[in-house]
Amino acid sequence: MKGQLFTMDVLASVLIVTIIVAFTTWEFEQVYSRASDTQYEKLNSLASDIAQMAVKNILANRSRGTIRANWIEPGRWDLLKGNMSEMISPPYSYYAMVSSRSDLTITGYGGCDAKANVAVARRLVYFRGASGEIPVLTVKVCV
Amino acid sequence: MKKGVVFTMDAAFALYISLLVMGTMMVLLEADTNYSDDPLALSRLAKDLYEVRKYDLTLNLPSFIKKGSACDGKTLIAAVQNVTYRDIQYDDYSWTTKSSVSITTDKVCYG
Repeated sequence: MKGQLFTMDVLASVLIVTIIVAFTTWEFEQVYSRASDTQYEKLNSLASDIAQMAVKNILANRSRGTIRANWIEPGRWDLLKGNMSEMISPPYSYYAMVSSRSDLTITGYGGCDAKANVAVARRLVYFRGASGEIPVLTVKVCV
Repeated sequence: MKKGVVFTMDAAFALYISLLVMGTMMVLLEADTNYSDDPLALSRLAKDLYEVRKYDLTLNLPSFIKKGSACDGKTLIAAVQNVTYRDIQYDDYSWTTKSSVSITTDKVCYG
């Protein structure tokens, strides 16, 4: 008799090989995804910490030795710019802005437009003369 | 006698079940480690809201945040203290409070 004879043993072995290949592929996808998630968690932690420091200390208004949390002073914006450039270096990039204040923006190493992995931290702030909506400080860290 | 590796059905099923168990365990472990920072971020936003209210009570909430009854039905909620009936005078040198103070708790959530 000509032709290939498939026995149950061959079918079972093909099934097992198929399962192993599929499982290995799935594992590689999981590892890649996990690496991306881990990286995002690090970026998110960094963005969150920078935003926290910015609203509670770096940008905070000071009066007679008292720090007014979340009251930002536009005059201290360069301090945040300096801190971010010290904390973040390539291949990471960053971006920071305050809503309704086009003069308060920071773009580091190309900013975060068109980046694959972007973490965003948003904080509510106040500055003298604010009106309408509560201003929002947005900090993005990306790679 | 046959040459090569011989697979019996029992061995094939045993291997298949082992792979299923391993896969299930890995999915469960991943679910355990896959946490979110959203509760912390929301909690900080709630505290921010409290701080900003000390400076200006007239500012409106940005659209990505809701509070009070607008949070009914939401699963992720933070709390913020809401100071009412409080007349604050704030300037560069001093701040004084007048009238009675009533502190209630507001729910805050993502919009």
